[in-house]
Amino acid sequence: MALCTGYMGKSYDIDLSTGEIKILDISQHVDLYLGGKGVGTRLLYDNTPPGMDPYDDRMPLIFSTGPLTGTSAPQSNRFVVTTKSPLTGAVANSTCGGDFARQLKRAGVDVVMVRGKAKAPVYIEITDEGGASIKDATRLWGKGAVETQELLPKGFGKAVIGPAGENRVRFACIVSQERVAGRTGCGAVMGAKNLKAIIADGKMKIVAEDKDAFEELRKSMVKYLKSHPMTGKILPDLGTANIVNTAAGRNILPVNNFQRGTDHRAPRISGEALAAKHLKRRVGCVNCPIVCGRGIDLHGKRTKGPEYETLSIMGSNLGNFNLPDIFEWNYLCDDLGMDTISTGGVLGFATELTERGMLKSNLSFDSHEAVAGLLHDIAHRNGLGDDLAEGVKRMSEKYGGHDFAIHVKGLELPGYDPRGCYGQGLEYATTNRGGCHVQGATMFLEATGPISIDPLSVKSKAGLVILQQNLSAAICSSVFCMFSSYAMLPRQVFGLDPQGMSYKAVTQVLLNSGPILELVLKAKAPLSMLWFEKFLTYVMGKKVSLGDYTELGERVFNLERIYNIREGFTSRDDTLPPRILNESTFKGVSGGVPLHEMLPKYYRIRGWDKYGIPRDQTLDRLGITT
Amino acid sequence: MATLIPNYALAEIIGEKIEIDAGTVDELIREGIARYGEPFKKAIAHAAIAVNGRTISYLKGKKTKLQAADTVWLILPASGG
Ligand code: SF4
Repeated sequence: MALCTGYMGKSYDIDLSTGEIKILDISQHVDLYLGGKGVGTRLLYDNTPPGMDPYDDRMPLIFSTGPLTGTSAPQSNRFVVTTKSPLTGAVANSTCGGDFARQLKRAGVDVVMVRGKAKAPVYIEITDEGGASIKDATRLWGKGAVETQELLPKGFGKAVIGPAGENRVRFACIVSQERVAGRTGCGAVMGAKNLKAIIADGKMKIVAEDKDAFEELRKSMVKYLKSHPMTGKILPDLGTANIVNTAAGRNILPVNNFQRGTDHRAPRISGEALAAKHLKRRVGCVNCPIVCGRGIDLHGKRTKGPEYETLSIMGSNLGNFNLPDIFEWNYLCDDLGMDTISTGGVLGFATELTERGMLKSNLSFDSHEAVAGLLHDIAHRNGLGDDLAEGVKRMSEKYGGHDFAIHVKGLELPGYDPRGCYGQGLEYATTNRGGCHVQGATMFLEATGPISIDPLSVKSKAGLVILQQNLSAAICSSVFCMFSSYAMLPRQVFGLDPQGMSYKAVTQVLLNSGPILELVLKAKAPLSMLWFEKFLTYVMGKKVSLGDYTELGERVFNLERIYNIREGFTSRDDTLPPRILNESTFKGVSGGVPLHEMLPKYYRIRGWDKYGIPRDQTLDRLGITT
Repeated sequence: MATLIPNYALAEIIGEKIEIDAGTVDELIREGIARYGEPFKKAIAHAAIAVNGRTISYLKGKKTKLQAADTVWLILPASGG
């Protein structure tokens, strides 16, 4: 079936065991699942029997782009990796900037599904003229992500793993330039296939179906993003590190393995401190006017500075408020190919185990000499590093400490303590890939953004989380950067005086918007209202309404849920760590996140039964076949 | 005596942890301005204020009472990423 504009019309199914390269037909999936995470999840579901081990040779590792990838639409040059997570056993997906996505499209390819296991290290090369080929990567094996990219042919877009992926560290990531597909351990599945890299190059172009309208929208969006307080000022000036002080002030900054939510030393690792003392340049993904990345110099070399997640989870969460340490560890994690969030999470957990006398190690919340060495040990699975490479959940099964093992479904929590943003707690508990903040980012509306819908209230949070999760799933299927959603709040909101009456009125209205939210979730807006659907409409030449877009997100979210249920997950897994459920970090507040007050409502609004299983009517309405 | 944690820029001038004797947030602001002048005034004008992790819009605004062990933060009014 011919695909509409936005797709190159060619995808590959590559079997590394046999060396066979086949053409993969994705045409039957794009109407319902569009691309990126949606198509990736569908392919994962359809190409694996229930219960397949993530390291089974037959496990697919899917690299997928969206209809806008390769165009000049801002924030759209990203790819998604999908597989089954070796860390959680649930659906794994992660999105990534860098140069690979655009080059893959230019090579004329939408999706690459890799199966099998090569006998010796290989990499996959894809070009518009030569098609796909499997090449020897013996000389690259053992090298860091930085050197690997330098050694691979110039001019190609690359997605590579470091030693951590080769050694199946369960939270190994995939790296493209300085960007990473960080979460859920996709790099370990890549390593298990003896696949060191996938690279692409080509000259093909995507010409939007409605070229003029596309160009006009692109220009106005760049202007809008540049003039919006979030995407034009806060992110470019301070990077995601802008969140550190806010998180500390609002008591949601993880400190010492989530023992506290704040620390007076936080400003030392804030975006302001980073900008004032270390920022050398702003860096961004292809065609993105926001340039949220931080360019710093480390030992005389230009490199990438840390994101908020790394500053919090490898900073305050380890009791460390020294920026140069975090720069070093951030670089090491990226080069070794490990997700900084899970790495910081497992180090925080191991430190608390050590301080409680449950583990013998040199880790301490007060001194950090042991950390850099341990990062190498984790990546190479040496000594204690071999245990740490298994992640917090498995560590707690071996050493105890279940109550303070900070993970959801096996995925270590990022840098927002949900005891100061209850909706975010619900999001962590229900997000299909586990404890993750970018598949909804409810904390932005509760605690970090320009308006704060009472973070310590459960009111309206179920509907809010669903709205956010659906939108995020649509964004990751189309494939945009999640940060684009921050520009959805009108500029005027940023002008509200946080101490003023208007601010109070707006947040009160939003807090009581539950019934309206439920209606909004059911309604199917017939117009293209946001730039996401407008870009899709102009590129593909067929109308995509806001209703289509949010329904796409709902469909993808439900398919992920169905996959997880098939793999053995139940409503018992929709929970939070005991510390987060039971211990408050707020003066005068008893207990942690009141999840039980939100979850039943969440299931109901989602159209799931009381066991969290999507009802047949829900699946039928969304057109999901199982 | 409440503890004030200024934002980074102000902390560079007045220190990262300040003890201020004030019964309310309003008094704390006045005392801060009296002690530190223009830099404090500038910081307050561009900040959201949180007491023990709650922004004062959820408490009693500037009339929020302060007790000895309370911690007051000056934070960016909007963050994200
Ligand atoms: S906002 Fe940042 S992460 Fe997102 S596309 Fe732009 S530079 Fe990349």
